[in-house]
Amino acid sequence: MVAKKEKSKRSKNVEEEEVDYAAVADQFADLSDQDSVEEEDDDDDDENDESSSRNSADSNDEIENSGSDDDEEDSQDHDDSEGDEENDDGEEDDIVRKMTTNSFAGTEPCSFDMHNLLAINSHQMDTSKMYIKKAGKYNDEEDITIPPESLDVAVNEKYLLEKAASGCTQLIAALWQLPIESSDIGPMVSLPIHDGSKIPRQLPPPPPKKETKWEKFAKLRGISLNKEKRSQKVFDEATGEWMYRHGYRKANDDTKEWPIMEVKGNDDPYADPWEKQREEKRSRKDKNMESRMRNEERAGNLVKGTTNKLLKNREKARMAGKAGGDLDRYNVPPSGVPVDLRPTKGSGDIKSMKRGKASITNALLATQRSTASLGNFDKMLEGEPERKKNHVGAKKRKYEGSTDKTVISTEAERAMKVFKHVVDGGGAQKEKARLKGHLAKGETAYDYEFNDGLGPSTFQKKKGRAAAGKMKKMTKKRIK
Amino acid sequence: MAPTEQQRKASRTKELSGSKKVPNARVQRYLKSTESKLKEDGKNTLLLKGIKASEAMSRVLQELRALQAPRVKLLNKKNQIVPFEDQQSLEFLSTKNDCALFAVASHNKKRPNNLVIGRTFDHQVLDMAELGILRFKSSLRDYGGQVFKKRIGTKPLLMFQGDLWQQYSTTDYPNLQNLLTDFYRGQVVDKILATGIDHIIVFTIAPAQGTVLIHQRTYHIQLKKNPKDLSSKIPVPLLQPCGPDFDFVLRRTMWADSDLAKAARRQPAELRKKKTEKNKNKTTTIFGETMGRLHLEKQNVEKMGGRKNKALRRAEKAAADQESMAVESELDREKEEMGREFKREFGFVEQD
Repeated sequence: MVAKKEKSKRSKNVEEEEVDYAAVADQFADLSDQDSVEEEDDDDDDENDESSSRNSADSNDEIENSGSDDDEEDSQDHDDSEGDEENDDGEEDDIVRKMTTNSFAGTEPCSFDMHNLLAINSHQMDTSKMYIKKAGKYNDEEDITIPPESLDVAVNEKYLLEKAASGCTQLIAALWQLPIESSDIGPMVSLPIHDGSKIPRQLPPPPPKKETKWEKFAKLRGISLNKEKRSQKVFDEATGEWMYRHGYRKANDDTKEWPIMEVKGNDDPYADPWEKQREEKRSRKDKNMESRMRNEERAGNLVKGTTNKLLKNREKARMAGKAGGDLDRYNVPPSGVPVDLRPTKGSGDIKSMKRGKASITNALLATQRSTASLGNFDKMLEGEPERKKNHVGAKKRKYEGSTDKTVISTEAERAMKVFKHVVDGGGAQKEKARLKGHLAKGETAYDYEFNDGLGPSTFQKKKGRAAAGKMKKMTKKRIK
Repeated sequence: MAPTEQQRKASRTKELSGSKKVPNARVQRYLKSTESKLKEDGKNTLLLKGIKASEAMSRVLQELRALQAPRVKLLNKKNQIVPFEDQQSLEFLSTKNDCALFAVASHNKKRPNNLVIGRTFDHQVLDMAELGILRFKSSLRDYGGQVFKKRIGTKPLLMFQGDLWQQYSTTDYPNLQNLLTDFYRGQVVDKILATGIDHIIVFTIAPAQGTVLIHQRTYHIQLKKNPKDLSSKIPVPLLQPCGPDFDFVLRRTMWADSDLAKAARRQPAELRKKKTEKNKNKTTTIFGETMGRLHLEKQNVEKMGGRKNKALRRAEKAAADQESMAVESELDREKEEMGREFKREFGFVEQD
């Protein structure tokens, strides 16, 4: 906390010296670049110097350094020249003498907050010296970005520079008093940890981690949590090497699908053991997910009630999936189907003769997809809410002119591909999909490729001897 | 884009339920950096334009960006934000860009060359101060090419001159000092390269032309040997004005109420300034032994209970036995005496 500072009384030893900065600058100019401090190495001499000056000038710092035990002194604010009244007069004179030898430090001692490299000069500014009354417009300043048109006074830049120089000198002297370590880049100064200006944080400090239910219970019962005991790797007998305890390709994995599984004890011999295994794994996964979510909810990382909501939705989806795609077929009438073909009220579980929201959205999707602009410039009805961008990632077909080079070279290939697809059909993949029911999407009435229970056609046009076909000579060419 | 609290929770739900893939390590590191930390780094700054911003004010923002690079974001578009009326938009933008400090520049007839600087705490505006810039000399354009410029990312020295910075009860200037320190101090570090200091920002406050003016000057520092005391290792700075220079006046302000201000400054227990132990009772002898001194009140030894052991119990028992024996013998004696008296009086022995 920046403490209030009364006007300092000038000690007897301080001479009233007006700092002539121009002359000082000239003095600096005389020194060659090699004499500047940046290139100096920090030797041991430096440290000794620092320690001696540090002890006497310790009262400079408002905040205690991380080693010093000057408790009583640090609780008050001290400036350089005044020092603590409890100190010896001799020590005080010593500090003052040090300040006067550094004449660049000026006559107004500052207080510091070294954590933020901040100097505070709380003396009153001399407005007579600071401001120059403008006669007319400030001519040479018209060219800057925001010219001082509304200011009646002009600031004496030289005066400000002088004052700044004195404060800066003091600040740098104070910086050099702090503990210095030499590193390979140069002398590193350790700044005090505590912030004297009490600057607020940007976020509240992180809350302590909340215990999970198991951790609570274990603590209560005195059960150890095994967190540090377990090693990351375990010896796997099967492969004879050290593998990770958890995760992909873990050690001693029993859950692999063996081609033959024994029927043990009370198990039903007609049950599917692999199905059973998968069910068990699924249930374990779900349980783990649920308990993790509940722990996080308790800790406040999730919105209250999300776990229950999620579980309910999952249950619903599973039930719907188990019943098959039939629910969709009757509850959501297909968009392209004429009204009279739709299942009537009497048949099936349908609530009204209206299309319904789901059906409308499907129809909208289909029409948007069919439009060249993918629905971006469609007219909207009055009062219609904003539409979501449905086909954002959809790629439109490019125009392929018949004289385009790339088109000519690839055209034949592409046409053959399509042809083959038509002639050969989708192959085994398509059959599988159809049997599973993936192709019975039902967006429009023409999307049905369902399993009608019929196998490949066995119809033969030619019968008898003609069915075998004409006998042709097997030449070498034909064999190839 | 730092996520808001709501978004964080929603994405966590998805991650746990398996419907969303956990992002890659780089993204996770970034998200962790936007969460609250025990010990905080410096704050990022967001520079915005208000409803109408002049070219000069855009230059001011560019200047601020140069000063605070790389922890600063300058947005180009104009925003329909009036900071003193509605902070919601500001809060949202600062959250999304993960910037705790902001500056909104605008220019209109009523408030020309207006710069609102402020800071947020916990995604909400904490303090705001409106500065009217009366004079601005840009380091990028107005100072000639010969001038030294500060390096990107260096930590500035700060200085506040003038007694008005300390007037706590009547004015806003102490709060403004705190805000300006926060705005310009840069990264928060434990150690600093002593020779890496290259600029100082000086804020001078003085009453003038009826109001109070604040002058911000930036000087480039070159550390030189002390020409008057060549033996000293402590360098003396050579200052050269390099800009940017601002002359401004404080217009409106909005400070946090004391509760929020206190809460914002509350550090976690691990970082709080530890009270140094006042060991009055400990002394160390010349042999290096640490002696402690206990201070007790006067004890009433007689009324105190002590521990009993076998020997004490035996002694007690023996004492009790002795006493009982003594009592018995006394009683016998008395009885004898009484018997003698009886005999004397009545001539025959008493018979029970």
